[in-house]
Amino acid sequence: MSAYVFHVLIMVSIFAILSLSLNIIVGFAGLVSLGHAAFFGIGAYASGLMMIRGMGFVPALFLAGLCTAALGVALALPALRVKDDYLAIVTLGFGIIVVMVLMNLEVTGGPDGLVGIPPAALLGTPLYSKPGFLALTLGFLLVMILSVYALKQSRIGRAWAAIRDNDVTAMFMGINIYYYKMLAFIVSSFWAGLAGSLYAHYTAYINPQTFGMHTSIQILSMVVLGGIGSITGSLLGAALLVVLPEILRPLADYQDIFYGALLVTMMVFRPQGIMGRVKITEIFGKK
Amino acid sequence: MFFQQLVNGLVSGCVYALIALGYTMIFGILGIVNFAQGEIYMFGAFGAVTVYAATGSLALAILAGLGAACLVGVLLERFAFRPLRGTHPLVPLISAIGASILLSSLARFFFGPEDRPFPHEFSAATYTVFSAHITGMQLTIMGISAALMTALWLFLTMSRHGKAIQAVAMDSDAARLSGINVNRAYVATFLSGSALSGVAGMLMAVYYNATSPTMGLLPGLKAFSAAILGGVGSIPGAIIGGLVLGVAENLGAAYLSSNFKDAFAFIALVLVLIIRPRGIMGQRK
Amino acid sequence: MLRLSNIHTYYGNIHAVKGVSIHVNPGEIVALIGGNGAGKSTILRTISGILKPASGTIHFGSDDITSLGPESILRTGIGHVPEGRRLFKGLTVRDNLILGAYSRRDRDRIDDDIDAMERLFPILKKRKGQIAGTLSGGEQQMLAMARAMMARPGVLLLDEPSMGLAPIITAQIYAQIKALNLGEGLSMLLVEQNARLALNLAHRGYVVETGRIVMEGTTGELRESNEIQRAYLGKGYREVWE
Ligand SMILES: Nc1ncnc2c1ncn2[C@@H]1O[C@H](COP(=O)(O)OP(=O)(O)OP(=O)(O)O)[C@@H](O)[C@H]1O
Ligand SMILES: [Mg+2]
Repeated sequence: MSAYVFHVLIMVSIFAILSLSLNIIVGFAGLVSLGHAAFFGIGAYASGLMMIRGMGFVPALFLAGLCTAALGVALALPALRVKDDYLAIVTLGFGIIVVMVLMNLEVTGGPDGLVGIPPAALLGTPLYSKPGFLALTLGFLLVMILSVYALKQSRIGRAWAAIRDNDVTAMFMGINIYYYKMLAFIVSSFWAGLAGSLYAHYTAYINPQTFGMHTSIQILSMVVLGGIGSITGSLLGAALLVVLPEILRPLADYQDIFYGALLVTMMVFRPQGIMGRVKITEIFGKK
Repeated sequence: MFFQQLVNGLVSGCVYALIALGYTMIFGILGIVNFAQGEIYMFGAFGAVTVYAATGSLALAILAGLGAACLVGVLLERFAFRPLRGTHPLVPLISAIGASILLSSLARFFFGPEDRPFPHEFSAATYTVFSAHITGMQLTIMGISAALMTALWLFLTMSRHGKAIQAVAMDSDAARLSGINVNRAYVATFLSGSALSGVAGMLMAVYYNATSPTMGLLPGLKAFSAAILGGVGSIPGAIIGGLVLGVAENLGAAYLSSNFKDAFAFIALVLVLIIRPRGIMGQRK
Repeated sequence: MLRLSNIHTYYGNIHAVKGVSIHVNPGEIVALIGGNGAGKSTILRTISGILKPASGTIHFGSDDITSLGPESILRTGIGHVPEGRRLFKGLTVRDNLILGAYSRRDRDRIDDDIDAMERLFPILKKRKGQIAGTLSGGEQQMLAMARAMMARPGVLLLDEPSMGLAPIITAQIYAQIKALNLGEGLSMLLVEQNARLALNLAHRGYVVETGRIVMEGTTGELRESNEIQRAYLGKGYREVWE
């Protein structure tokens, strides 16, 4: 296989982690976030900065995840006081502010970004080869799928489902909705942070534009296309929306037309997404 | 310095208020946020610039700008929102986000990514009040905004059709039982909201002598913050929220940090959500 | 004059009305009684076009109104005073009345009709400029009826006018309903949980249970029926048998 194919597969797996992590917020807990790429970016910058300053890959990776989760809490604290459209705007604003901060700080290299990020390394050996790195990201993706699946089946997953279907009813059922929504943000931002770290050590160079609204929308499109709340759907959505633009590279300038039209038509004609199950259809179809 | 920033702030505040009125009216009647409000603003500006470049007539340009904004608003209502009535709130929300991306990327496709100037010479006269310089254009913006807001207020509270729109916002089934055509009320709401945003777009295009496909993004978001600040669904709230936000942002940029000028709106938003989630004029449900 | 034939209505997959056939003659008050969730309000909402029946037909006079929307149905002459009044709570009493006449083309006559309503419900005249949401329950019910009357209907659908009102206010409302029936010759389809009240006022009645008509007759006949006495008029077994 050519290096190019490996590159595409690595991007697919990184974006699969991202779309799955956003699906925890959107599909499981029924919230919305338009600033998901900011979590991705925070993970990338945190990990990159720590490794440039001499930290090892594994601690940097997990610390990046934790830093991002902490920022997830910082966002969720005010944001979870509101829902739906308000939440969308607050998270969107958050995404814009994060990019603005990355652009203006000196440590983050301003608009030029961070260069010379050391590659990922396991047991002291740097992972320079693409197949090796792909194995690493696929490993993380697998762990994530298993843990997200377990979470979905657990008491936590059922509480999320109740909140998503009707948060007022959920509240009367005695579910602490604030706590569970917060949990969704924490888990989701942790994984997005890990994805950011993987990305930073893969590309060795990051800049603020990568983590802006465009990417947030791209991740949301993956979730919606695959099917809100569906794990396989998120994977499929990520694969399609990474591979299609590669194939349609000559049309790169019009990608956004495609994303926008995709979101609207999916909502109007198939809100449950490609992989939507009957149950999801009922929830997101006409009431 | 202070008065100058105050004036500049009021000018941007008027623009935020005009857009915020669109958000608030549509939210009040449909319970959804029209995320594409900023794109309607942008299309208003582009409609005017395009026709002005072709004909050189300001009157035709204004008509074209209004027409473009209203057309986009009506199409949105018909195709992106109406089919989704009565679904889970995430569905119209995502559709609106999609519509907003679609519109700005279509604008880039048709008009190109570069800024386009709106070369019109307005009276270059400046007036000095309290050491602040006010340009003729600034006065025009404030005057037109004030006139439009008054007209909207009179329409909603005095006319039969305006009251019918309020009735649909309060209880759409009861409105139908009174013989009010709710679809027509929705369209009328989108039309008036779009017209206000379109005018705001044209005013800003002249003010900054520039239009671009992404020009609607930040004003759109800030206007939404303004609507929340004032209390979503409240017409006076949208106006006050817009003005407060415009002034706060300009003063913040002048006295704190101009790099973060655009962040002040969101910081204000987060503060409001923490301190008073209903907004300044919001009512207890 | 109003005739429903074999009407079925669903909410999603909940079958709420199952083959209902009823009619209302000119000048008649017809009561629809039944317990909570029987489907009474659903029947009214189907008549006024808020809900679409899955099958069956609704005729008003010689017109088939089954597939019309609420605005057109109102214009043919069917007014609906919904359950819970559903006023435009943020608007004034007068604005509510003006909006009640929204469907009318003869706008120059509206002021006269507002005067007429204020004669029938004098309290509304006093409260003219007040915000509707701040009226008392009884006043709200009167305003809801007056608002529906502003469209000059030939049939009025009344959904639980006594809901949540003190007996003395209820008596007053019922007197006004009767006045509308006698004075204007208005036909009415009256939904009530309080069967005694409805059967005293109406000429005929239907009993609805789980979406079906289980009994019909003149109010005299219904009042005499043992089952009705037991289930709806609140008499115990003993009382009925003795
Ligand atoms: N909007 C709705 N969605 C789903 N089901 C509904 C809806 N409204 C009513 N129903 C169901 O339809 C059935 C009939 O309801 P309806 O309101 O017609 O009863 P009703 O006889 O008017 O009762 P009440 O006397 O309590 O007002 C009930 O089982 C109810 O749960
Ligand atoms: Mg009822």
